[in-house]
Amino acid sequence: MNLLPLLVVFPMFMAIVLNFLHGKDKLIKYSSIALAIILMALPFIPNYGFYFFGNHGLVETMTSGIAYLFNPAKQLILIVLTLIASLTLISSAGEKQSGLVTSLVLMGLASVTAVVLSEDLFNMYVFYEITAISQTGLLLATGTENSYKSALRYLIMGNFAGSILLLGIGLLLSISGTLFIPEIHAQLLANPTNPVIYGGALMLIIGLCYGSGLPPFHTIKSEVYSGAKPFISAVLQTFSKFVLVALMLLMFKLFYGLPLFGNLQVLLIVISILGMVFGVVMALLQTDYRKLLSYHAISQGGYVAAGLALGTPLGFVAGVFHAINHVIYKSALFLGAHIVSNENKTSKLDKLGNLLPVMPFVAFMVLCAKLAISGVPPFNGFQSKLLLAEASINANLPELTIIMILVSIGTFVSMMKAFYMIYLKPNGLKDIEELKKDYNNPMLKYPKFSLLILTILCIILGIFPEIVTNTLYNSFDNFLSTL
Amino acid sequence: MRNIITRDIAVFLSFLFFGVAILYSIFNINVVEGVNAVYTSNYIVPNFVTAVLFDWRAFDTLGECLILVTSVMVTGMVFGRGLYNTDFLKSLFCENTQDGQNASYKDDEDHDLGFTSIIKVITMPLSVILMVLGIVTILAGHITPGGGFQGGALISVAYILGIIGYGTKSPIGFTHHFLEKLETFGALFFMIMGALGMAVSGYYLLNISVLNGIPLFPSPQNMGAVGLIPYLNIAVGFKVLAGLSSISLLLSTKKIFTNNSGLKSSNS
Repeated sequence: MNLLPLLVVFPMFMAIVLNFLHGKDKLIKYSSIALAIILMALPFIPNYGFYFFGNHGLVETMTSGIAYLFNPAKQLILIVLTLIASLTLISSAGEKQSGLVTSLVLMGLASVTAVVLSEDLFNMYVFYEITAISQTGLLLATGTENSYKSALRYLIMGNFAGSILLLGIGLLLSISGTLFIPEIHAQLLANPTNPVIYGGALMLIIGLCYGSGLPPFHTIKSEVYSGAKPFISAVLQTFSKFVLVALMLLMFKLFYGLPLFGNLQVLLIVISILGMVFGVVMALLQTDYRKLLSYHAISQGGYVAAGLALGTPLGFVAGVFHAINHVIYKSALFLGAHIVSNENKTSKLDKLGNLLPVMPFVAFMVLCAKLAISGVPPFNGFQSKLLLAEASINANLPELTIIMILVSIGTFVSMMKAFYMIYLKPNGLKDIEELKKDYNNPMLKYPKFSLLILTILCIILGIFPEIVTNTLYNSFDNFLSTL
Repeated sequence: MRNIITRDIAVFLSFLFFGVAILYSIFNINVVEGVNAVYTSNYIVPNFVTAVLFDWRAFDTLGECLILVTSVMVTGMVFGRGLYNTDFLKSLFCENTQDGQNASYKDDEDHDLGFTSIIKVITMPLSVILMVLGIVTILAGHITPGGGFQGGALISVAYILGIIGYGTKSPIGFTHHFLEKLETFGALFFMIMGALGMAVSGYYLLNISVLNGIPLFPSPQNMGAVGLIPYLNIAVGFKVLAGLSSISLLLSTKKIFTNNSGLKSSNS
């Protein structure tokens, strides 16, 4: 028996149960830790291949129902996704919390899993919407006025972008008569100059930019990341990155081989370059640590999109590998920010300082993550950025490589500035004893544990990238020729 | 000033290009029948819309229900029990006093909105009729137009009508907790019905009509086997009725906020 639907249904089931258990804090705390462990086992259970819901497979030459596809690359993505979500659940055990945060994290996890797995355009849209709403809810959990404002803005933008995406899906359905992605592609190839395809592709790109925070939606997305509590931002940016990977691959699955595909590819590369550059330029200007990290999340999203948009096998491998690395080290950085700014302490860089003697081990782990995001060996960021540079040169785009290196330098500068301001700079306001008393919170052991695991992963993937890249090479070598 | 004009022009141009592209696409649509032919030529239940929603694409329907569940959770976070930080909302709901301890509510009492007695007399029978119609729509969703969504929406409209006519003294008094239970039950029931199909054959949301020789849903001979569809309709009906009602309950009354924010006790 193929247990693929459990990947989506089990987290949702538990989300609803935990939502109902609201108020029983102790029960929720222990059950969320138990859930975190169970969830990590889920991606190993199902079999590879297509799965048809309700056994509605091929009827009269058309695929009638909803299909999911599970393969090793998707398994890898889901392992990382559930790992980050589980670590977030473990970190949240140290917070004064309610079941709502836990259930929204689970809801988001299930919906992103469905977006990654789905081979059905409309099913993808439905779960894309759930992702957007649960991200808004996680932002609201902060409960500050600013987060309420950004959540409202994010929802209004979401209404706009979601409706456009749905209209695009409607256009593609009208000309192809089906929602099963490989069949849509076949139908489009049969009539490649149909003008409706242009409208559909444009609208899908707007949905992609909203879901992943690429321009023109980069400001609102960074507001979302910086408004939420930092350990929640870790899982929020993970959701966005994997939605980005799924939707970029969708573009190839739908439009590859059509006459408009060349223009589409240029458009995607331009958007990703804009994301990279805007993100890092805005990050250099920030004085708040959480905002700085948020803009870096946008900038690194641009890297992922650029790698995938190249459309070469090496580009796909580099893009997906970078997405995986990025969610690992960026989550570590957000958890570091959470430890620093816990319990409504400030995250303004000029009010922090001299934390190295207070938490030397945390500072070391955060330094590892910072070096990883700037692409310094032997951390995982270096491996994927190297692959990205190699892929863009192989695709005859050395300009893109230069931009990537420049953006990397910007990342390094702002990250080192932040490290100096937080851990090394003398703190004018408090002496060390006072600071030690401030950060002596036993509940911080949960985020520290999560941070430790992520740092270890950063180093392991930096030294042995083959663990991930071998699977990805196998999956993406023939990806384009099978379309 | 100059800046604003430049921005206006940029917005105008981008809307122009986007709009022209979309209109150009839409004028060239030539709709292909495609998979709809499969849906309409394979008979499952007399109502083809229900057949598509609850059999062919039942998992999408589950997803749409969960959009509603998530929305209710998020709405609850702003107005209801999930409130985290009530400080800035206090200023909206309470009169400011010096220390905030003796905050008093601006208008905790019901207002008489000045509806004439005609409205109050008409509201109740209309609500009852709507509610009965909703139940019929849910239960007969697989043979007549309608279904779970529509029936649930009808019942919650009856509830909202009661609130509009009578305020918090509405005779149809669903409490917030009752609605939560109903919503949880609806969503879990849908998922468990889906898992039933998985236990029988390995396919989630498989439309089984006979289990161990016993028909799952008793229906007349010439109706064919409708299987799970009526049960899924009922689950979605509960879900939608509870979801829409609790959103409107949260939006319409300050009582929930005052009870949840913990301000009530300090006041009285």
